[in-house]
Amino acid sequence: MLLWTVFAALTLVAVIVVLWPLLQRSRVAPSRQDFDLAIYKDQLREVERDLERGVIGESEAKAARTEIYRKIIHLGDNEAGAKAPGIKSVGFNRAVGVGVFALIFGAAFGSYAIIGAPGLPGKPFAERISDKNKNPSLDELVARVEVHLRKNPGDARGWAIIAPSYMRLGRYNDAANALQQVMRLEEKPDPDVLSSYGEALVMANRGAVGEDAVKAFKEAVRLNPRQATPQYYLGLAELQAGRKDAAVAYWVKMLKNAPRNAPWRSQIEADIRKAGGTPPAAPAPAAGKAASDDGVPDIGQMIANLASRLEEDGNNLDGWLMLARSYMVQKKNSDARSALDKAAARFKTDAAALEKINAARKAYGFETQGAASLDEAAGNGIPDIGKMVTGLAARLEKDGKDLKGWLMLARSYMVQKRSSDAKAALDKAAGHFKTDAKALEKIRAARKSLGL
Amino acid sequence: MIAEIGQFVLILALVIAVIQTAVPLVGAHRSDTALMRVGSTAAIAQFILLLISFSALTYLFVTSDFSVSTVARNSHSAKPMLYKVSGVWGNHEGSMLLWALILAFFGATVAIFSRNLPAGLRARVLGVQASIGVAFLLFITLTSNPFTRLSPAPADGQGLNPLLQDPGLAFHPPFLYAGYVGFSMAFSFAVAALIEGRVDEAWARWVRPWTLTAWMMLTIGISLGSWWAYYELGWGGWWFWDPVENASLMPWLSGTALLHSAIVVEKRGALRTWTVLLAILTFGLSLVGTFLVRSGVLTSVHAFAVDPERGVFILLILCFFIGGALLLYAWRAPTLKAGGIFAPVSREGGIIFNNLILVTACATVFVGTLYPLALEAVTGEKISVGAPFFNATFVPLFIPLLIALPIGPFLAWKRGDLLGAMQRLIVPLGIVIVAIIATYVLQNGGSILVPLAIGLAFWLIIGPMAETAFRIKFLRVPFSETLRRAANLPRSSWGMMVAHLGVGVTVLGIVAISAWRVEQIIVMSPGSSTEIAGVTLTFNGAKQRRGPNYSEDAGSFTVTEKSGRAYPMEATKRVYTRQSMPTTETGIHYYFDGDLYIALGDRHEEKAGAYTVRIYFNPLAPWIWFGTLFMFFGGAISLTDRRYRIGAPKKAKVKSKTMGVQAA
Repeated sequence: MLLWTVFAALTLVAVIVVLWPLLQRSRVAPSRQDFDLAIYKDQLREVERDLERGVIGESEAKAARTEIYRKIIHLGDNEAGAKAPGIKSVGFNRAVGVGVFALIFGAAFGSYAIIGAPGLPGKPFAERISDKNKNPSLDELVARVEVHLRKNPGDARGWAIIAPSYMRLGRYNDAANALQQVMRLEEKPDPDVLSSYGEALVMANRGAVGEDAVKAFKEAVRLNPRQATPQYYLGLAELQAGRKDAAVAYWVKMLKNAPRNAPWRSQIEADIRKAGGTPPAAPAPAAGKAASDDGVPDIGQMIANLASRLEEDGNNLDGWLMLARSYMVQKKNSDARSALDKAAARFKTDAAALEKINAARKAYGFETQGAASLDEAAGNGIPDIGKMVTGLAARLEKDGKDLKGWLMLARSYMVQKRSSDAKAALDKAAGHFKTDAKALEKIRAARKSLGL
Repeated sequence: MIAEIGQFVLILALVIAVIQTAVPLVGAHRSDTALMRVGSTAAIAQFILLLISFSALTYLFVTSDFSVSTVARNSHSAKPMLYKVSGVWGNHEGSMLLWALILAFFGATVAIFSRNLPAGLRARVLGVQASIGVAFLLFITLTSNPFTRLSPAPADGQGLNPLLQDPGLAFHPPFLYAGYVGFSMAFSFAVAALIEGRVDEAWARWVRPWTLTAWMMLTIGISLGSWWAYYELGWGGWWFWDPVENASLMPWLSGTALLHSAIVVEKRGALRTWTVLLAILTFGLSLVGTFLVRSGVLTSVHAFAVDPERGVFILLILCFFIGGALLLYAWRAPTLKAGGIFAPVSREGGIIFNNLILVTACATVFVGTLYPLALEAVTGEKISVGAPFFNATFVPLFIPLLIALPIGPFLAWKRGDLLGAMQRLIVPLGIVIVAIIATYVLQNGGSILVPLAIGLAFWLIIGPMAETAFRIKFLRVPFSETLRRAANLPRSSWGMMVAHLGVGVTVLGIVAISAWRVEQIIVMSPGSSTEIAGVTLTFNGAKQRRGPNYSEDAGSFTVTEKSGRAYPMEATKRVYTRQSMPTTETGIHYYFDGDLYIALGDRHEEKAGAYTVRIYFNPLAPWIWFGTLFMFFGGAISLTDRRYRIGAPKKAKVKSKTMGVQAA
């Protein structure tokens, strides 16, 4: 409403200004001859000035004067019959006034109705990114962080937050720049950041893996050899350089390290085949459960992944606690207990962590252990293999459909030099997988390798 | 809300321009004072409305309102404030709005300051001027609306072309437009005169200040563009005969001719029809320039949007106004009263000579610029007409004009005395001969062309001074008398001297940079140094830096003079992150006798920290642009001359009294 009031007021003022002469009483204008005469008089004076300055001589001045006088005499010759200016017809002018009034209002509002967007509010940048904007879009959130970073360019966390958003918005150069800031600000190089940085460079480069990107990926792999993304791009770089074998080598290594049901597995396998290589076989399904057909992630597989990750790098208390919780959900109490035991061994010097572990134990109904007994159990920080083996054996007795478990149990017995137990375990496994030729093959292989 | 007000007011301005076209023309035809005066009030209203509209657009740019399409496409929230403002006209839509605003501004100044214009002429001038406004405002609202909205609004804009993010270029367009659009005033006067059927001394007197203003603005606009090309493009050149540059040079050449021929109409009543034709052609060339750079026919930094629809629209405007005006000219020109007679050797004759050469030169540029485009359009063949063509045609054409330039002002009106003029120029001639010999000796032989060119520059600088000295009887009468005469000399005479002398200063710069430039393109590693033009230049290495919207390799240099004085210099190579576009920021140290000019090139592939560096010593380079400043101020001095402001008869009964007061 305010908008229309402003429009109406502006139009009204404009109309009044434009039509002002028609609202006034008549006024007579000087005729054209008056103007011409003024000019000629001026020219006469100019002749005098030039003469006085010495620019022209007396005879030239005389000629000039004669010429101007001649013009003055002929003044108005071709103005004969010209009407003297004035108001000719009040009625006509009134009609013009009304016409102009109607035209201005009609045409202005009519055209605006076609091309205007009166309902669209203005969106000044500062307002949009201020906290007053209650539902900002992703774009606006990004802009908000951008403004924050412009003021605090030393905020590594801010740069880290904004980078993935840039990637999603397709602003790859910005993403690369943001990640570069993160690397500059963080003292410890982070393989994930390096890998994302390389990826941003590749995207900005329209898929070509350039020198800087390769450098970043190599550093990322050096820091974390199991990371998949950098290996993929390193392979791609080799492929783009025409070295198919090297590319295949990277990808095969990557697949070997990858979880069985990684969503990109089939894509990489296809890539390997395209490059003329053979993809390695996927690891056998763990916990006897295949990924469900409808694409729902296999919980058992997820837990197995978590467990194997924690075996490798156990410095993740939350991971251990989550693993224990997951086992409890699956009613694998002994596994839960052993997970907590392992965690306790890992964090035996960390009182706060132990407190959390004990709290979990209590919650799951296990006996809590003091730090001292934990120490004892853990020996010199090495996980208690005996307990682990017992737990595993107990679990397999209950649920024998875990080939990997049986194989691991056998291997563990061998480590404990209990070869008869190992042999028994493999026999039991063979009993469980009577109908599975592939599993039997694996069991046979294990027998061979363990010398049984 | 602001965007919508801008939009509405723009439409309102268009409607009022329509009224400003129709009502005063009807009024002039009926000799009705009230209707004629609607032209003036409408002109003022139109200007104020466009000013509101333009302010709204500026506000939208400054607050980065990306719900407006133009802002989203051409601005960015991280841009420095100066470029947010200059970004208003750093794009197609905004620059067209600026064009319309300046057009309306000139119309409003006619309405406000030209109360001494005969009512009929003023009404017709405003009517014709408004018709141009209608065409351009239609063009803006229909094809290039700066207030088109976006919903949803993007979070941030796409940024301004990095090449335009430069102070020199921020103010290049407004001046250039003031020039182009200013010539529309001369055009309006010409068409109004054709409609009225009379071109007389009074007409010429009133048309001259507008032409002069437009010419001054265009001079500075072209000069800023050339200066920018010199320091930004990194090749040390100052004029490239690029079609875009030529597009602005053409109206300047014909505008310069118009400026001079209008003097003849004013003082002698001769050359009337020719002057009217020049006025039409000059504005026509301004429109051609606009068409060339805006239609996408030429690819350049100016071609913001390659949109054939817009090109066709401008072409239609061009055909309508120039075609219409030329038809009107063919019909009405024969009825115009012929002017005074004069001998071939006279001031008039000199100015005809000037016009002849300027127009021929303009035609040469026209052919050189448009022929390749026409050929490509017809046969698809691509040819390049560059500096060699123009050096072989334009330059030799111009030399006779430059030689004649100092002589013209010594010739009297109607009948001149060439021998007498030459006698008065004997002192400058002597100085010129000394300069030629001195240059020849100093450069140790070589081509005689360079000393001759230097002589020409001296001739152009000292000749106008000699004319003024002659007029104020310098050294021929007691000094107090000379001072009195100097004070009495019309300001237009001083203006002429300064402007003509400016031509000489520019020519001197051009000759020096063309003949004596020193150039080195070398690979420099950190710590290495080179000798150029008597100084030692050491490269200290380059480091990476980040600006608000770019990152750059900043090369640091130390210059050591023979005297042992040392100072730092910096040349950088920038990449604007938003556009991934590299630009060079040259380092220039201005000496009195020339510029030391460094441009940082590419990083060397193998040698660590090494860069390709282009180093120039450009002798007297700044003089090229100083000269144009002289021309500008010459025009400004001439503009303040009181001749333009008198001659206004009030009502008939008080007329004689007013005249008496003015004469006093």
